[in-house]
Amino acid sequence: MDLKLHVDFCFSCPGGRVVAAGWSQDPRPALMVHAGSASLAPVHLIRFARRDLRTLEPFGYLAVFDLSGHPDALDDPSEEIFLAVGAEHARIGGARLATDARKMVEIGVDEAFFALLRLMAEGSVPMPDRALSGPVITRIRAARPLPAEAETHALSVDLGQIAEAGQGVASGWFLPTAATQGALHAVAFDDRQLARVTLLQGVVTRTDLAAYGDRYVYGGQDGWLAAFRFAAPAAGAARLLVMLPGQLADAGVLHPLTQVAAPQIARLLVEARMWQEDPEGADALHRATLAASDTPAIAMPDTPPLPGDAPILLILDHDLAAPDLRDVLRRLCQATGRAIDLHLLRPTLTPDLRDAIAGAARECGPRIRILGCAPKPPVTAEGPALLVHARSSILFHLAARLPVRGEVPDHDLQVLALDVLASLPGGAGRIAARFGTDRPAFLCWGDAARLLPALAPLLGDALVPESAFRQLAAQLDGAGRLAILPADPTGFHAGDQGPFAAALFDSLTGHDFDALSARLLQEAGQ
Amino acid sequence: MTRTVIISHSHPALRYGGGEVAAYRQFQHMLEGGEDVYFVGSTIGPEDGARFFGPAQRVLSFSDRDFCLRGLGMDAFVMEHPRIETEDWLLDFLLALEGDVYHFHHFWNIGAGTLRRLRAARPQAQMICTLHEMTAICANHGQMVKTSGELCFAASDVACAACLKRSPADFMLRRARMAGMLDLFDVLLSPSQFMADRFEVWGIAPGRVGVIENGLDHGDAPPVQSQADLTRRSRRFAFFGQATPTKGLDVLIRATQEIDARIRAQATAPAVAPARGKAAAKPAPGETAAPTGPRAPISLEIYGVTAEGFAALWPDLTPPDWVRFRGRYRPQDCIAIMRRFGWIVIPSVWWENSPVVIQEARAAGTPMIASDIGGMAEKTAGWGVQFPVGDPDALAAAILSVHDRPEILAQHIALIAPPLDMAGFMEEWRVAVSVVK
Repeated sequence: MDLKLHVDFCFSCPGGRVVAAGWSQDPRPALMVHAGSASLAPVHLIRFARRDLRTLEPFGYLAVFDLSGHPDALDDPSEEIFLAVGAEHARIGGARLATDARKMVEIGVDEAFFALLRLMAEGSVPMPDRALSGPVITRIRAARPLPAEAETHALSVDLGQIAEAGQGVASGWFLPTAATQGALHAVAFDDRQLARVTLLQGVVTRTDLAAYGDRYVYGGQDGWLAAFRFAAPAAGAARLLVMLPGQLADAGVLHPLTQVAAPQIARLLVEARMWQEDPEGADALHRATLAASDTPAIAMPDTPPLPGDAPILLILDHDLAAPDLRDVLRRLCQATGRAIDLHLLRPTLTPDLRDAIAGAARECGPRIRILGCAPKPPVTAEGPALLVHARSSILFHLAARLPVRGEVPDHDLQVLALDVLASLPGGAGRIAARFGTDRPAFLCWGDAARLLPALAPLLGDALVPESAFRQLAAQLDGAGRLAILPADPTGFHAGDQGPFAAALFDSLTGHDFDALSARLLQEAGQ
Repeated sequence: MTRTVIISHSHPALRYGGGEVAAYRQFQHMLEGGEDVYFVGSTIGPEDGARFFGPAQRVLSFSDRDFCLRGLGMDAFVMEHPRIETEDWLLDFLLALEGDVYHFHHFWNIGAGTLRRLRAARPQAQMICTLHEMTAICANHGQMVKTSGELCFAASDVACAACLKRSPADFMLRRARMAGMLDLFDVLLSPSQFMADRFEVWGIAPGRVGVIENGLDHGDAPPVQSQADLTRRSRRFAFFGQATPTKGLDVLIRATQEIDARIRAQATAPAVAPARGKAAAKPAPGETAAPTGPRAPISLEIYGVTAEGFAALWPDLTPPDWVRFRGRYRPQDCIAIMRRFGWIVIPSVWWENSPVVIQEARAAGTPMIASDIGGMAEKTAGWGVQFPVGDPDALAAAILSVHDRPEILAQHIALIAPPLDMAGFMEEWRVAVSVVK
C-alpha cells in the first residue's frame, strides 16, 4: 500500500503544541490531528525536500498543531490522538509524545531538524528545555555550516557580542538571490544553553553594499540587528547561528560571540535606536536582552539582629572627583560614628582614590578601610554590617539622615529619595509609586546579611547597581518591608564622574539605559 | 614665650607676590623684635622644586627659622595634596615646629586636609588665616572674574559650573570643603573690608573676618613739594605692576592711545587755552571728557613690564611714544621711584584686595588713578581719582582731568595718610588674635 502519510517523529511541547515530522508524496496533504472530539489543522506546515528520499520534490513536512485549547488530549494518557491525512490515521499518543523530540534531534534528517530550529527561533515552538538543549547544540555543531558568501547568498555578521550575564547583540547584513524566499532566523548557543534570537532584518541602511547588486538582490536596507539573552552566564564559547531561508540541509552561518562588558551591549542597543526608524523594533531588541520579568521571590535569610555598633558596609557609586571621596567618607563617619568598610563600585582603585580613602582614614576616629573595588556589589558581608548604598553626591547630601551608632534600622530596607515633587505642597504621598517611574536618586540602608542575598539575583540586568537596589526596593515595597521617605533636594547636585555617569551614547548614561530596561520589563509584564 | 609659625604658599626669596611679601614682612618684624617666630614658605610647583632642590630634598633652610618647602603643586580647585604622603610629611613638619600660633597667609600648597589634621593634632594652638584673595570662593584663580572676562559678583554652584565648565556637584563639594576649612581657624583676617564683605556674602558669619591692612615699613615722610615740582610731577604718570591681563595694562594703553589721538587732533586745530581752575573729580558716569588734548607735555612710565613683554601679550596695541617701558625694578626702590611721579595708575580689571602698590603709593605720597571696584575703590577712597573699571575712554578723561594741574595734585597729596607700618600692623594683629608677646 502506498501510504499518503509517513510520520517519523511526533512530540508535544510545553504550551500545548504538538509537532509532527515525516514525509508524504502528497503535495498538499490535508493533515489533521484528531484528539477526542477535536479535529485540528496545523498552525504551521513546512514542506521541504529531503536528501534521504533522493528527490528534489518537497516531500518532507514539519507540522505544528495547537492543542492548547484541549489540555486533556495531552495530559490524559488514556486519550487517543491521531495524525491523519484524509481517512488515513496514525496513532501518535502515549510515550512517543514525550520521547520523540530527543529522537528527532538526534537522528532526524537535517532538513527536519533545522526546520524545527527555525520554528523555535521565531517563537512558533517553545525553545527546548535544559535536557534537550544539549543534544540540539551537539546537532548544530555537527551539522555542516554555510559559507558567508555563496552563489545563493551573502551574509555577514559584522559584530557579535555577549556580556557576562548572558545578554548579547549582533549586527550584520544579508543579500539574498532573487529566488530566495523567507526570513533569516538565528539562535545563540554556548556549551549548555540555547537562546532564541530576536532578529530584525532589513532595518539598517547599507548603501556600502551597492556593489554587490550585480550578484545579489540589493535593497539598500540590508542590514540586520539581533539580540538575545541566555538564562545564565555563558558557559564556554558562545556562538551565533544565523539560518538562511530555504537552506534547510545545512546549519547556517556560524559566528563566534566576543565577550564584552555589559555597557558595550547597551551602547549597541542605544545606537540601534538611532539606526532604525521603528521604535518598537528597537524596544524588541532591547527587551530580548533582558531576563524574564518573572523575578523570583525575595530570598532574605533569617539573621540575628543587627548590632547597634555594626560597621557600615558602604557600597558606593562614587560620582564625584576622586579627591572628593575623602570628604564623603569623612562626612559619613562624622555623621554616624560608625566604622566604614568601603566597597567602591569602580573597576580599579586609582592612586587618587586610594589616597582619598587613606586621607579619610587618617582623619577619622572609627576605622575606614577599603574592602572591595569592583563594578558589582559584593554577594555577602564579612560579618554583621549596616549596608549603605548611594551615589557619593547623595551620600554627601544626606549622610546626617543615616542611623547613628547605636541605632538599628527598623525596616528591611530604608530609602531616602530625593524627590522634588514630594517636597511640593501637593506632591506628598505618592513617593513609593514615583520611585519606580521617576527614578529619583536615593540613599538606602539595611542589614547587609539580609539584603545582599536578595540583591544578588537582581544584578544581572542592571548596568548600574543602583538599578538593582531600586528593583529590590520595589519588591520589598510590595511585601510591605520597605520604608521610603522623601529627602530635601535643596542644594543637591548630582555628580558626573565614574563609570555609571559616563555616557553610553550622546548624553545617555547607564542610569538612563536601566530606566528604559525597567520600562520595557514593566510593559512586558502588563 | 609664644611661638608663632607663619606659613605662606610661596617664599618671597623665590617669588615676589603680595601675600608672601606681607607674610615675610610680618616674620621679619617679629624676628627683629626678638619673638619666637618661624617662617615656612614653599616653591610654587614642581618646576621650581627641580631648579632649587636636590634629589629627595624637601626643604631649603635659609636660616634656622626660615624654611622653603618643596611644593609639588596643588590643584587649587581641590585644595588638597595630590598624594597623601605629601600631606603626611607637611603635617609632620608643621607639628615638629610646635607652634602655639599658626598663621597661614594662604592655604594653597598647604591643603585642606593638612589644616584639618593640624587642627586635630594641636587643638590648643591658635590658627589664623589671612585671606589674600578669594580662592575659597572662586575657583578661577580666586579673582571672581568670569572666564568670559566679566566681573563676578557672587558665587553659586550652578553659575560657577557654567563659568568653569564643571559639574555643579564639584562646586557643592568644594564649597563645603572650603567652608569647613575656614571654620578651623580661630581668626580670619583680611587686608581689606571689601574682601571681608565678599566672604560674609559667601556665608562666613558677619564680623568673623577681621580687617587689618598689610603692614609696610616706610621711611621719612615725603618731602615738601615746590610749585615747580608739583607742576612737573602733574605731567608724569606711572604704572607699577605685572603684564598679566587682570592688571589692566591694556586698558591703560588704550587710554593713552585716546589721549594721543587728541594730541594729534589738537596739533592741527586752532589753539585754545585749556580750562583752568575746574575742580578735578571722578567723572560722573556717562560724562565725557572735554574733547581737548594736553597742551603741556605728558608721559607715562611702565614699571615691572618690558616693551617685549607687553607686545607678547597685546601684539595689536601700539603705545604712543610718550609711553616708556622701564621693566623690572627693585622692590625696595619702589617708593623713591614713585615720588618722581604725580599720579600712579592702577587700572586692574579684577577686584584686587589690598594691592601693595597702593600702600607704596601712600608711602611715597603719590596719589592714584584707580579702577572704581573692590580693594582699589576702598583703598584709594578720598585721595585718589577713580574711573569706571575697564573703560579706556573714562581712564583717558581721568588722566586728562588731572594732567598739568598742580593744584589738584597738591590737594590729593594733602589727603594721603601714610600706610600702616609693621609696628602698627602687629599692634592690631595682637588685638585681633589676642596673642600676648
